[in-house]
Amino acid sequence: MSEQQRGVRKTLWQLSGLLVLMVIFTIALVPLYDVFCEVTGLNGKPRRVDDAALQAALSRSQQRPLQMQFVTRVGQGLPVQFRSQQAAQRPVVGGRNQTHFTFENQSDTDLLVRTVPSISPPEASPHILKIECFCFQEMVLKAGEKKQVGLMYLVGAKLPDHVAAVTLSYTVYPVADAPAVAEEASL
Amino acid sequence: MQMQTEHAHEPPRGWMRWLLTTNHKEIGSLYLLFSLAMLFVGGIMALIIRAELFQPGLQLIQPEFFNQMTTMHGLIMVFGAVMPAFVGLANWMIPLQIGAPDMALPRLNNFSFWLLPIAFGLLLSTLWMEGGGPNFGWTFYAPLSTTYAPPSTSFFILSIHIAGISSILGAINIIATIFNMRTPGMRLMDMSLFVWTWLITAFLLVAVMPVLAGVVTMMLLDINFGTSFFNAAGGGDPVLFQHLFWFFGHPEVYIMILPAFGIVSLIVPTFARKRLFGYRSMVYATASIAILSFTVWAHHMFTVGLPLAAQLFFMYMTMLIAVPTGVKVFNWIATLFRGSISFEVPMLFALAFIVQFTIGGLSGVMLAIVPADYQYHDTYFVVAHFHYVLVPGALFAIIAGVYYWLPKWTGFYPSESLGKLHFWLSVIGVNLTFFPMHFSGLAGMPRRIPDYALQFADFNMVSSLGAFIFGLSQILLLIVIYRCVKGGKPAPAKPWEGAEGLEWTVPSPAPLHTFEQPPVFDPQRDSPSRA
Ligand code: HEM
Ligand SMILES: [Cu+2]
Repeated sequence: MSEQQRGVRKTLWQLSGLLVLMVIFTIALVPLYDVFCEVTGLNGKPRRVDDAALQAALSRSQQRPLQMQFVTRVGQGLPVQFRSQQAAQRPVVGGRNQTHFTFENQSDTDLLVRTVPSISPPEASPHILKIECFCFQEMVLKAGEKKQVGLMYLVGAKLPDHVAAVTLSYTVYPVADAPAVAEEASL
Repeated sequence: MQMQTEHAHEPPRGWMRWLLTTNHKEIGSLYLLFSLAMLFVGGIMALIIRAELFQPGLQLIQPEFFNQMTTMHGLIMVFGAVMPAFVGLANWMIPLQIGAPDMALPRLNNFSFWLLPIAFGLLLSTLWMEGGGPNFGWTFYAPLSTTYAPPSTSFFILSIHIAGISSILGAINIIATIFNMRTPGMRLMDMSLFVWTWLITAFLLVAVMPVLAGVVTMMLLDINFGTSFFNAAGGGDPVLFQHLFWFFGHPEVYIMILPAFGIVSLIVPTFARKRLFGYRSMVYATASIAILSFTVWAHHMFTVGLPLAAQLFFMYMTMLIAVPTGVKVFNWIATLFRGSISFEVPMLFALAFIVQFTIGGLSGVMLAIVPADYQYHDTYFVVAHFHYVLVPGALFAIIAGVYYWLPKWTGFYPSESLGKLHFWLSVIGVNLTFFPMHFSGLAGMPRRIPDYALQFADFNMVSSLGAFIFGLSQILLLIVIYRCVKGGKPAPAKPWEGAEGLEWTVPSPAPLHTFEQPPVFDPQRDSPSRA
């Protein structure tokens, strides 16, 4: 093998290495993105609740003017009526708050649905902790059934003072055509 | 000596010869011809679009077909015309400029070329499939390209995969050639700027093509296997698609411009009869553009709801990238300064490149201003911006390169009078087409629509007229090339008085096999960076 051929071979190995690295990097970007969003609260991705977070949030109960707004949306032509009991409420900052939502299946077939939440503005989302929530869980709505579900959430005491309103938006989606994603619904 | 290295058996004749060729010049020609064909296919689609937009209202085609035309036009021009043209020029000229007998991996070279007709045959065939071809824009945002896409989308994904593999293999070949096949004595800082810009471009390709492959694979999984990478219903995120796409997409736009910088950096000194001003700063500027290009992708996504900190970061990084770009423009102008300039056709196209690319760069800086981009985003202003950098930018540089090297390829000068006619019609046509788009965009006309409000009618009529002038004048390019292959004024080995570089030491036309013995290269005398 000539000097030159050896050089070419070496370059090839190095470039293949770079290529493999970039493929791994691309695949890694997906979970990294989720972690990034969760840590920063970007994109309204809600945070996982653990005990430490709960204690920290509860530490300082206070009354301050904050508006919690609820938005409900129905995805992709689903024959469901989805309502929030209240359009908005004044929550206790640093304490537990409660509200209700109702789903009504307006068709004559059973439906399997899932509700996906989003919080805005992003800087608020690390401070809105959901203790009891129907979000991400698969839910059966029988034909014509009307169902009431509760939401219990906590507004962290460390919510920045300049945040005057937080929007919690829920979209209900059909599950039927996305069977393989159940395990992602771990929140 | 020539005899020893000649192949023992006759090369296959007829079309088999082209199918099996491993010669860098023949493969270069194949790439260039393929790109020329795609330029016309994509161009016809552009003219269909402009014909429909000539007047408000729907006259000629249906919105569904209009969307397929905008999508296909973008995909074909980016992946089928501009990129293969640069690879073709690289195949022809890099071995000649570094004194190598061929590319490092000749058989791989053949394979990378023949992947392209397969990829684009497949892509074009989707137009005749049920539900039509891709209709979601060349940026194929999910979920438009997944949940709401036509059934042919899986074929679209396959064709992107094949074209991507072709690009990666081509890039690997180019890097291996440049690193290992330079004639003895030629250091990296002695290489022509075309070789340098291509080296850096090839690294960009190896780095971002896997990201493109990854993102289309995720689409494929979302469409066919029920995953939810980009599907909010399943816990996925459509914005993730945009991050991944533009992480590929922004470096991709530099892939389409860096080799153009290289071509212009050769042509300007040749016809100004001066050495290039600031060779080293050109190399460093190219490298900084390439590195910075990984840190600006979200300037395409200012309106998706990025947090303020991210908007500021991407705004400043984008503006920063204009600095090395400005260095290049400055160096070209400094090269022209006090040169004894003559205006042959390659020089005309190169000068037009400098002016018009700068216009595109300036509208780019306008788009980089976040609050302004809220207004401009997804309007014709963006269309004006990227067409200025890509058509009178990248495409003009390719055409300049073709006129510049045609004497070397064919042994004849291209017709000067036809070339000048081609140039002036192209300049007039291109500016008539794209300049009014700045105004229709600022006035609020959205991009990718088959019909528009009446107040945009005048601008659109001018754009359409310009587009037909520009499109039809490219037939002159065909004629010039055809005639130059057939005959004309014979060209000597060095057809341009002020030209420098090893490619001009071989006869014109360049024989099939060159530099079987490495040429003598003395950096003191031959290097473009010599003192
Ligand atoms: C001074 C350098 C440049 C700056 C500051 C710049 C900035 C931008 C910005 C901010 C956008 C996003 C606009 C929007 O969608 O609202 C954009 C779009 C675009 N730019 Fe540039 N740009 C520059 C140079 C280039 C070059 C050299 C190319 C290609 C050769 C290019 C190709 C594109 C393309 C294709 C798009 C639109 C993509 C699409 O949405 O379809 N740009 N540019
Ligand atoms: Cu960009």
